[in-house]
Amino acid sequence: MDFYPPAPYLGDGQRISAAAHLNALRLSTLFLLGEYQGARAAWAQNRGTPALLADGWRRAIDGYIRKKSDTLGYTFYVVRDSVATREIRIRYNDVELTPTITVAPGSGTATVSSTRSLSAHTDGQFYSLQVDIRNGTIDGDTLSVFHLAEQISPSWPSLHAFDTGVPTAAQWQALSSTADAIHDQMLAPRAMFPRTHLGRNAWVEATLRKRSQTLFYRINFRLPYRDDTRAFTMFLHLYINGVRLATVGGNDLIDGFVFAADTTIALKDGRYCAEGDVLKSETGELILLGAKAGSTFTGCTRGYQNTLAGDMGDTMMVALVKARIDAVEGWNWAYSGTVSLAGAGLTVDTDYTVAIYTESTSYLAGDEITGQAQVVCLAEQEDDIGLPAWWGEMPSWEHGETVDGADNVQRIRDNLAALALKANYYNQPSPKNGSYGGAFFRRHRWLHYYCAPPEPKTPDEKLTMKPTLIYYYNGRQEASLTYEANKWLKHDLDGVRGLWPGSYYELTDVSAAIEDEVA
Amino acid sequence: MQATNTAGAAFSAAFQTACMADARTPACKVYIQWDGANWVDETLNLVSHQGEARLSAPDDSALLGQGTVGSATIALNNRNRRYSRLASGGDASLRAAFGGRGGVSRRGVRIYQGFTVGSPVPAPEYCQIFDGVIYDWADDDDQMLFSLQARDRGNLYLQTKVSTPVRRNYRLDEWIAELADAAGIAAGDRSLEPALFTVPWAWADAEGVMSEMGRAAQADGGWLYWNHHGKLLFKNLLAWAGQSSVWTITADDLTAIQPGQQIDLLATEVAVEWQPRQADELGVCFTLDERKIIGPGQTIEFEAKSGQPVWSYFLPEKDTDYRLVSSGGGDMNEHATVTLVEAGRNAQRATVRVTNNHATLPMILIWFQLRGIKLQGGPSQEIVVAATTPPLTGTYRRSVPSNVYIQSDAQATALASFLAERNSRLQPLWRLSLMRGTPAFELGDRITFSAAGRSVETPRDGHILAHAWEYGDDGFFSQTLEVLDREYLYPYSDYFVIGSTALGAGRAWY
Repeated sequence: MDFYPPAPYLGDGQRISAAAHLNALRLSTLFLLGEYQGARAAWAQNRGTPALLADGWRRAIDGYIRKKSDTLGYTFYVVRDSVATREIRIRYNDVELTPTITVAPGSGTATVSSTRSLSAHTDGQFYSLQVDIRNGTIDGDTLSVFHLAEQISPSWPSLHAFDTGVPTAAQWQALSSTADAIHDQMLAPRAMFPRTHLGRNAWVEATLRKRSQTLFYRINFRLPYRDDTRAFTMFLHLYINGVRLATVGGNDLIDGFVFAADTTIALKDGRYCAEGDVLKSETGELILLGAKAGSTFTGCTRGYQNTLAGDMGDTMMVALVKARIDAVEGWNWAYSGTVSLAGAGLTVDTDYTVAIYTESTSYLAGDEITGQAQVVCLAEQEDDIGLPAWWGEMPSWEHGETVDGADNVQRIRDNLAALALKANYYNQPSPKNGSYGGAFFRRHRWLHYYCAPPEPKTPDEKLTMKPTLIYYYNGRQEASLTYEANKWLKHDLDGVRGLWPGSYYELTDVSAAIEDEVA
Repeated sequence: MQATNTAGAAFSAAFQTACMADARTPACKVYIQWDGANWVDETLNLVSHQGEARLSAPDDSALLGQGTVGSATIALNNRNRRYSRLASGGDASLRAAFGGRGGVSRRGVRIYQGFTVGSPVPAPEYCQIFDGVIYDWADDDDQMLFSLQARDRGNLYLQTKVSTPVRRNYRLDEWIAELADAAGIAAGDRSLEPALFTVPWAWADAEGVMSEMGRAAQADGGWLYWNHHGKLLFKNLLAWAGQSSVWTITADDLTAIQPGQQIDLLATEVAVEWQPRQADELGVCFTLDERKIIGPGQTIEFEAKSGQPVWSYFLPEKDTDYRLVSSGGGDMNEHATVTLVEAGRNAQRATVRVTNNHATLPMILIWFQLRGIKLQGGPSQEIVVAATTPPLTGTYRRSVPSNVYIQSDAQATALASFLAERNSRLQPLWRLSLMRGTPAFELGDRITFSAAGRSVETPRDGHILAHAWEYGDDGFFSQTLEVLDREYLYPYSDYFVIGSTALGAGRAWY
C-alpha cells in the first residue's frame, strides 16, 4: 500500500492553513525523503560466461519486465575484441529492438549507452527482456550490463525561488505538483535480487544507486572440505566499482573488533558473542574470549589453537548466525550484516557496481569439496545517521505564524527541487533465475512472480514448484504462494502479516519476481 | 451580494438607491414550471410571497455546519379557478399537470424581486431571490387563493441515494463533486470552492446524497447549501476571511435590532473525533449463498454485497473463486465468462456477470466468492484542544458531532484549535429587522450595521447567516437578517492569501 500523503491544493485566493497546506506539504516532502532513502535491493546481472544460443548469440541478460514506460535505457561496458566487431542485441518480447549495437575491434573497454523506444508495447504487460552478444572471444567479463531499465525523465518545472515577493498561485501549486510528480517517480516497480550460487573463484555483480552509507548483504556460506593434511581457505571479497572494500573470512564484514589490551578485547557489538567463543583476528590469530561485560571481554586467550572443524575458525560469525537468523539448511554459515560505504569514494546519486567474489584455494572438483557461497541479497539500506547533507530542515507552522520565504517555505521548495533531481524512475527487469528465487526489501503492495519449472527429463516426469515467501517477524516465517506454471501470478503483500514496508524477505522456488504498486 | 440583475447587467444606481429608499416601487415576478419543462409567468396572479434562506441554525453547529433548507410560500389569486384541478375554467394544461400522478410536486419555482426604477420611463429591474421546487399546495376555495409551499433545489435530492467506489486521497470538494455527479446534479448547477482538507478514504453505499455532502462540508469546516439561483454552493471555512463589507445599514433602515449571545456555544475546550481508516489485506468480500442456473447462451447478473467497503475487487478466477458445473456434474468453468460489471463496482456492492458460452447445456454456479481489499475502520480517536484563555471556570467541553470525513489527526487538530479559540468568547448574533428589504443579499454577505441612539452606537460588521423576506399584497417588501458578529470570527486580519500576499507579510491560519 502506498502511504504517500498527497500534497495539498494551493489555489489562487486561498488563505494558507498551517495544517491543511503548509504542514501537509512538509509531510509530503518528508515522506519523499523517506522513499528516497529507503532500502532497495541491487539490480543483479550475470557475471558468468554467457550461454550460447542456437543462433550463435550468447545471452548475457535474460529476464522479464512489466512495461511502464516507452523508453528503455541501457549502459553496457564491453571489452573490445582485438579483431572482431562485437554485436549486442536487446530483445523485448522476443523481438530485437533494432538497431543492433556494434563495438569496433580494438583494445580496452567501450561504453555504449543509449535508449530504445518501447511505444509499440502495452503498459502494464509483462514482457521478456534479453541482452545477447556475439563475435570474438566472449567470457564472463566481456559484457557488463551496468544499466538496463525503462526510465521516465519528466521535465521538472523551474520552481519559484520562494525567497521574497509574491509568488503566483501557479508557483505555489507547482510545489505540490512537483511533490506528487516526485512521488510518481518513486513508484517504479522493483525487481528481485536473484539468489546466486557461486562456486570458487566466481562473481556476482549488481548495480546500485548511491543513496545511503550502508550496504546490506546476506550470504550463505559452505566451507571447503578439510582433510587431515590440507587446510583449504575460502574468502568472500566485496568489490565496489571494482575495488575491494571488504572481505569475509576474517572479521571485517560483520561487527569487527578492536584490541583494547593484550587480553582484553572490545568488540564493536558484543551482543552475539559469549565467553568461550573463538574469534579470528585480521592477522589470522585465534582468540578465545574470556569473561564478558557488555561488549568487552577480559582474560582472553591469545594464540588459541582451534580445534573446530573447518578452516575459518571464526565462531563469532557462527554466534552471529545463531542470533540473527535461523540456520539455513545445507549451509554452514549464513552471513547477514552491513558494510559501511563511507570510505568507498562513491558519489551520492550515482550508480555503482557491487560485486562478490569467492576466492578459494580448494582445487578439487565437485560441490562437496570446494567452498560455496549463495549470495542471497545485496542492497542499500536506510542509514541511521540523520538527514542527508543536502537536506534543509523544514519548519512546521502553527496558527498565526508568518508565512515567510527564506528559512521557511523556501526550505520546502529547495528540498523538493533537490529531490526532483534525485528521483530516478528505473523500472529494471527481473532476472530469470530458475527455481532459486530472490530477495526484496518490500516497497510496494503487489508481488508479481513467475514460476518456470524445469523441463521434465521424461514424458512421465511431472515437475512442479512450491513458491514460498520467507520473512522474519517474531522469527522466521513462511508464506506459501499460489502456483501455476509459466504464468505471471500476483500476491498481496499486505496480506502477509508482519511483512511491513521496508521489511526484508526472500522468495524460493520462484523464477522471476517484480514488486509493483499496481495489482 | 448579487452583482447582476436578471438581465445579466450590473444593478443600476437607481436600483441600489431604491433598496434603501423611503419611497420606492417594489416589483416582483413569479415563474412556475407547471409541466416540468416550460416556465410560466404567474406574476399577474401573485398576491404575496415570503421565504427564508439560512446557512445553519444558531446552535453548536452554527460555526461548522451546513445550510438548512430554504423555503418560500407563494399566494396566488385563484378567482378564475386557474389552479383548481377539478374546476371547469382555467387552463387545461394546468389541470393536466395537477391531475398527474404526482400533481405539481417538485416542479420548478422562481421568484424575482426588484423595483420599478429609472426615468423618464420607469421599468422594473429584478434580481432572483428564490429558486426551488413545489413541495405542497393548497386551494382555498373560500378565499379564492391558491398557495404553494416551495423548498430549495436540494429538495429534489432529499431521497436520492448514491453509491460510489472507494476513493482515495480526495479533497473534500472533489468528493462533494463526485457525490453530486452520482446524484445527477450537473456541474453547471454547482459551485464548489476548493476545500482545505483531503481525506484518505471516501465512499458511499446507498447514502442520502444531501446528508453525505453536508457531512463532507462540515468536515472541512465549511458550508453546503442551495442558493437563490438553484445552485449548490460549497464554501470553505475561510471563505469569509477576506470579505469586504458589501452594504451598510444604519438606524434609519431598521425597525428593530436584537442582540443574541449564543451562550451555549461557550466552551473551555473543544473535542473533535476523527476516524482512522486503512486498507485491509486481501480477503473474501462476498460468498454466494444460493445456486444459480444459467441456460445455454444466457447471461445473468447478480449483486455481490459486502459488509465492509472494498477498496479494490479482484476479478473472479476460475477454480479459485467460482465453480460451474453442468446438470450432470461436469466441469463447465471453461465454458463460462465471469466478470464484474465496470459500472456496477461500488464500495460495498459489485455486479457480477456470468455468461454461459455453451451452445446446448445449462450450467449451475454452485460456488462463488468475490475477493478484494477491504477497508477497515479503527476505533475513533479524539483530539481535545483547550482554549488559550478559558471563558469560564471549570470544564465546558463542546464536541463536534462524529463525522466520517474527519480522518486525520491534523484535520481534527486544526478544526478543534479553531473552534476552541472561537468558542472561548461570546459570538454575538444580531437580528436586524429591516424597514426596507434589499433583495440582492446573499447568505454569508459581510455587512456593516449600526443603530445610533439605540443599542449599537458604533458600526459593527457581521455576516448574514439567514435572511427572511416578505412581499405582501400591500406591495411592501421587508426583510429580516440574522447576522453573525465578525469581531472575533478570525483572530487575525492578515492571513496569507495565495497569489496575492508577499512572503513574510501574512500569517498562517490553523
